[in-house]
Amino acid sequence: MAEKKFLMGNEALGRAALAAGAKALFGYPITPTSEVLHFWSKEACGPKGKERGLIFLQAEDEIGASFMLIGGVLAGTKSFTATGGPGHVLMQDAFSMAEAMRLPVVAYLNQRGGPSTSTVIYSQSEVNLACFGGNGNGYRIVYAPSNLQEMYDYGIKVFNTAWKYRFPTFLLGDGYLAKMMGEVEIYDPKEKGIAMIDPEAYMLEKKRVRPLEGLVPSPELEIRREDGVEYACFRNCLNYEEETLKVNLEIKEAWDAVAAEIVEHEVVGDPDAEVLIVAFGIVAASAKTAIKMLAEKGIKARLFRPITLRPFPDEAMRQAAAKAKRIVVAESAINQLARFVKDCLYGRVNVPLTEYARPSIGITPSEIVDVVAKL
Amino acid sequence: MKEPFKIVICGEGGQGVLSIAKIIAHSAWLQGKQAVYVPYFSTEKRGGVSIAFAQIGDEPIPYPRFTKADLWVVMSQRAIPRIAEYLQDGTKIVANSFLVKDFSAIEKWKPYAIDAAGIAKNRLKKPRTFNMIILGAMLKLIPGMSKESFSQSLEKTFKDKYEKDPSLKELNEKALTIGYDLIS
Repeated sequence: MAEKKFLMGNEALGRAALAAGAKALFGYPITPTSEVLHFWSKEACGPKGKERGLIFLQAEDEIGASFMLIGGVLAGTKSFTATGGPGHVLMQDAFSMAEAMRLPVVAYLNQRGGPSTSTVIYSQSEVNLACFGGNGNGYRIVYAPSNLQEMYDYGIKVFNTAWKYRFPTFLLGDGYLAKMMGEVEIYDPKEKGIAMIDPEAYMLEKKRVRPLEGLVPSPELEIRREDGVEYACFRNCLNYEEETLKVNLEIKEAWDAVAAEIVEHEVVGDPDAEVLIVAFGIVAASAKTAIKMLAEKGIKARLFRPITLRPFPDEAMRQAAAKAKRIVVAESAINQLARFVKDCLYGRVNVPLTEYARPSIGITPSEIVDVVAKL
Repeated sequence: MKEPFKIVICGEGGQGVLSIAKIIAHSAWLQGKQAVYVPYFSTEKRGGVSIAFAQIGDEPIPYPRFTKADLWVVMSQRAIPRIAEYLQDGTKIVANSFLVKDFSAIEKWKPYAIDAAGIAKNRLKKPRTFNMIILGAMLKLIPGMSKESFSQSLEKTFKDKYEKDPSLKELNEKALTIGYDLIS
């Protein structure tokens, strides 16, 4: 039964993983995400968790945790991790491997101050890292929730997206969303007509509905059959440049085939507005209030909010931008979201763009009002 | 657009700054209001300054932080400069006079100076009721929150603790009333 509760963002995430049918959390605690681990360890050690066979494993560090996560996925267990900041940096090695082999790892990432250890509080400066970290080409799906309810909603959704499309799938929150408390409606996905997708083993001789051929890039997979037994052999270490080219092109092809299905965005405000604010996550929440405050001053403004940062909602962004006379990108980082916007608009839509960059500090509604009013 | 009521609380780590803000927000929500809470968390706990933000309103509150407060609570001397930027005309101030001795920087706001720690220790003989006295005082200054419904929501918040120790409920009620009556 759906129930409204007063929850911290991190607890909403933990409950989302539970509702999504996740079985294993491999992690290493770090502020501002530790409460996800607290919640899960409590669940896993409780009677219900034991009955469901929940696993909680705290590794020696984030490198260990993220490779355990890969192990969990290869074995066909719905697994996830939760981290942020320097922990998120350390996990890039494993995330790159997941990208290379099309492994549906799920991570809840709450951004904290950067660069380096910095503050444990808040930022939006892990956008590049979440979307393009590692030594690949950034074929990961990244959702950015904007409020506590979405921490729960997308906390569930990431698992389905990951197992349906078989790309690493991340929820990119931040320290404010992680640590704030407010109303969250907790529900069983079934009540909302959401069917959860079952995981499947990559390794082990288990029955697979989706064959590995056509999923794992072909140079990385060899299926041998001997005496009626099928052996799936994987490798992510390649010998030839041509092989590695093939791996990358196959990943790109798979991505291009589904990206349009995955992208999500939200547009709020008057379609005739001359000013288009572009913001994501909690800053988009702030911008929504700013738009109401601006309306009271007689200034029309509109918000374009990418919900998926990767794939980026290029088409919708261009359409919204084409109607505007002025774009304001507001982010708690320098030129991370703004670079995506510029990439998307370059050579197609020519509208002046103002950047309001406040690295690793929050942006209040009144700040956005001031920026727009001064244009 | 009706703005929510904005509260900032600052004090020493371990004084219960975060708990007070959390209880206020949670109780308001239990009374059917919209409420959000967010701590200013850092690497320090005891020995450092803690700050917490709470907002209470009738409409959903999308953003947890704000620039100016309606209610400003300081529990120690060095909390004053730490949250001074949140003061505006008409901000109401509650100060814990046990640790705040120099009021010169906030005089023009006519702060309510209450010796919550002294009352908790000497009158109630339970130093831990300090928080409830502060909460009582705050309650009087938050529009749309009655003491009665707040007490009822406390029973939900502290259900487990009250069941274990029924005398705690009476003690909390008493401390809350004392704090409430200190504001005139």
